[in-house]
Amino acid sequence: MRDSVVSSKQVADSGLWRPKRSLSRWSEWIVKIVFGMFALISIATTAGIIFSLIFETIEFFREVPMWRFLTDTQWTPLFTNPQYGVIVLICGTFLTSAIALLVAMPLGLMAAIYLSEYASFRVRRWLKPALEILAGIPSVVYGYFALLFITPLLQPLIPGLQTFNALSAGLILGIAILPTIASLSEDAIYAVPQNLRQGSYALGAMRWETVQNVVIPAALSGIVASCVLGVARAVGETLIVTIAAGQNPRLTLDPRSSVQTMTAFIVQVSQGDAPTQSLEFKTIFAVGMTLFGITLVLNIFSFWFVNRFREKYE
Amino acid sequence: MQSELSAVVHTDILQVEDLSVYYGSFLALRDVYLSIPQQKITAFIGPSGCGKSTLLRCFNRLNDFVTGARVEGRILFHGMNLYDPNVDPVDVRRRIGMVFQKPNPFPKSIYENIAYGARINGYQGNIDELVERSLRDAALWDEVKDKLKQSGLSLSGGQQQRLCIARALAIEPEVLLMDEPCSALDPISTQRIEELMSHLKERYTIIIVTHNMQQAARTSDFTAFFNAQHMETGERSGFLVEYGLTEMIFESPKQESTQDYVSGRFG
Repeated sequence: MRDSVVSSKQVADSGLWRPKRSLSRWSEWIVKIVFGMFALISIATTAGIIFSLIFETIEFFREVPMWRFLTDTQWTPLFTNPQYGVIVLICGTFLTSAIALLVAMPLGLMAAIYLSEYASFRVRRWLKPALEILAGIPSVVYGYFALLFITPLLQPLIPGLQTFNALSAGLILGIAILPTIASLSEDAIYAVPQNLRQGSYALGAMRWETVQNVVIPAALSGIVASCVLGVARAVGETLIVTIAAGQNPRLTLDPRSSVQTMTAFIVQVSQGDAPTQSLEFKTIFAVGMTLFGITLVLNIFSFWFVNRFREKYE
Repeated sequence: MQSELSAVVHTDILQVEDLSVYYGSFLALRDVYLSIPQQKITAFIGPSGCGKSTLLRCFNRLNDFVTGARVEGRILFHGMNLYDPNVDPVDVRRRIGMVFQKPNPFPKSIYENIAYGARINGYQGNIDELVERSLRDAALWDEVKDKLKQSGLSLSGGQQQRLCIARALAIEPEVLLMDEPCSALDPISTQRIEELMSHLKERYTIIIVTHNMQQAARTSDFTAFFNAQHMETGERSGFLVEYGLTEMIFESPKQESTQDYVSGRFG
C-alpha cells in the first residue's frame, strides 16, 4: 500500500508522461480529411460521368424524340436519312453476350467445382492462377484471335459464316469472362462450410451427390452473382466485339451474321471525326446511357439476389 | 478390467484393436483397444487434443477426407474390419450415422433434409412415411409437421440439431456417433437431446463425445477417459487411460488422472 503511494508520487514528479493530445488531435483530423478526400474522388468521378451522360443524353432527346429511339427498327445515325432504333444495337450486344454466357457459365462452373471440390491442394495452387491469367490477356489480342483464328476455323464447318460474325466474337468473349465467373464461383463454393459437406458424406453420399445436392445449393447466390457480373462484363466489353463482330448494325439473332454492339458503335463514332456539338456526337452519349442503364440493372439484380438468397452460416 | 467388463457386456458391436491415427507424421492417437457394447451409450471424455473426436471419426471413416490422415490397427464392426481394402467407406457411413458438434442442416426444406439420405441410398419405401417416422423418433415431428416445406435453417439451434438426428436416423443406421452434439445448445435443448438419447438406445448403439462430464455421467452406460501426453518429439499424443462402466469411472476410477479429471481438477 505504502509502496504504491510512493511509486505513483514518483511518476507524478518525474514528468515521464507528457501526452501531446492537442498535436495528436490535429494529425487525427488531417488524416481524416485527406483520406476522406481520396474516398470522395472516386464518388465524384462516378457522379461526373453520370452527369455528363445525362446532360448529353437530354440534349440528344431534344433533337430525336424518345419514341423513335425506342421503336425504330434501324440504326443509321450517320446516314443522310438517319434512323435511331437503339434496339438494333441492344440486339447485337444481347447476341454476343448470350453466346458468351453459354460458353462461360458451364465452363466456369465446372472449373470452379473441379478446383474447389476435386483438385488436390497442389493442382489448385497452380491451376487457379493459370485461370486468372486469362483475365490478364489484353482484349485486343482476344479480338484478333477471334477474327483471324476462330472465324477461319469455323468457316468450313458452318456455312454462311461471315468474316465478321457474332458467333466467333461471342465464343471468345465467353473465354474472356470465364475467369470472372470461375474465380468468383470458386470463392462462393469454397466458402461453403466444411461441416455441411461432412454432414452429407456421413449419410453415405458420394462426392458428386454432395456437390449437386448440398454444395451448389448452398453456394447458389454467389454463383448467380458471378454469372451476372460476367454478363455485365460481356455487355461492356468493347474491343473483342468491335474487331470480330464488325460494324454492321442489323436487327438479327443469327449468330453467323455481322452485328454491331452498343460499345462497337461508340468506338465507330469516336474514331471518326464527329464534331463535339453534332448530333452524331450526342448519339454516343445516348447509347452510353443505355449501356450504363443495362449494367446498372444487372448489378442491382445481382445485389438483390445475393441478399435475398444467401444462406447464412456463422 | 477386461473380466469385469465381459461380465456385464453381452454383445460388442465395434471392437477397436491396437488403433493408432496419424495426421502426416503427427501421432494423434495411439494404441487404443476398446469394445463398444451394442444398444448402450458409450461416452468418450477427456481434455482437448486427446483424440476422442479423432477416434469417433474413425468409426465412419470420415477421417478419410483429411489429407495425410492414416490409420493403423483394426476396427471390427460385427467382426468385419472397417479398414479392410475391400470395404467401401460409403457403405460404412450408411450403417454408422453421425451427428456433428454444430447443427449442420442442408440448405433445403425440413422434408428434403430427411429425404436426401434416403434418396441417395436408394430407399424403396414410402419417403413421406420415412420422414414422419424419423422426425417422430427425433422428437421433432410435433414442432415441424405443419412447416415441412420451410428451410431447415429457419429452425432454432436445438431444433436444427434434432433435425440432424432425424436425418441420421432416416437411413436406419445401427450405430449413431455424436460429436459433442450439445456443445452449441442451451440447457433446455441439451436436456431434450439427452432424453432423446435414452429412448434411442433401445434401438441404436450410441457413442457420444462430450466435454461435459455431467452429461457423460447422466447419459452413458460406459465411459472411456482419454488423455494426452507429451511424446519425446514434443508433440501431444492422445491415448486411452481407462474404460469401464460409467459409475466405476466416476466413482472409483483406477487411475489417478481419471480421478483428477472427473473431479474437475484439470481439463
